[in-house]
Amino acid sequence: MKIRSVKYNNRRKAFEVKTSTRTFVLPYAKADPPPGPVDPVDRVFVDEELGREGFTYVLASGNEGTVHIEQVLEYNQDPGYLRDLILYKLTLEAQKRVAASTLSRREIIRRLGTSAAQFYRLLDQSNYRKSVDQVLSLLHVLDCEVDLIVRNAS
Amino acid sequence: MLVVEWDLDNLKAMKGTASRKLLDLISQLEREGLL
Repeated sequence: MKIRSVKYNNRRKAFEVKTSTRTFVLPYAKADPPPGPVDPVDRVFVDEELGREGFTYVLASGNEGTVHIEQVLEYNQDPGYLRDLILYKLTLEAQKRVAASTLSRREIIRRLGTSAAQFYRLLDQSNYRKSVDQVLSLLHVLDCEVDLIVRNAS
Repeated sequence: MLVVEWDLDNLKAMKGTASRKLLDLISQLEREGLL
């Protein structure tokens, strides 16, 4: 995700990050080093060196900090980010279960009704093109039950 | 652009891929307690 523009807002004590879809907020307290009354933000800019996927700010003292868009999405609990996180966690669990399973990989592939290439794509934790459904199917073949817990935010 | 998003708990790449050089750098930073 590319950043279109970034501003700092001392009244809200936060950076305002605009992307093609929406504007996100990142409180100063989540940045390192954190800007504050003693050392306020002097300037902020979308960082071309990060392919516009992050921004850099310079404090009055000359200290600099860089924030990647992933940090902004994580703080804002972006649905796309959370979906990827769920997929990642499910995939790690599937990797462990496949390693511990008494079923051979060939048998798992047969039961999934898929190809070996697709099976290995499912087990690649950095592949986010697969669906949650596919990983759930794999976990089902591995004789697992998947439950989802929703908690109040702390 | 994002090169790699690294999972410090599970020592795996969450996004992107880490080259051998990058993996060595991550290990070094961990040993030094900087991660």
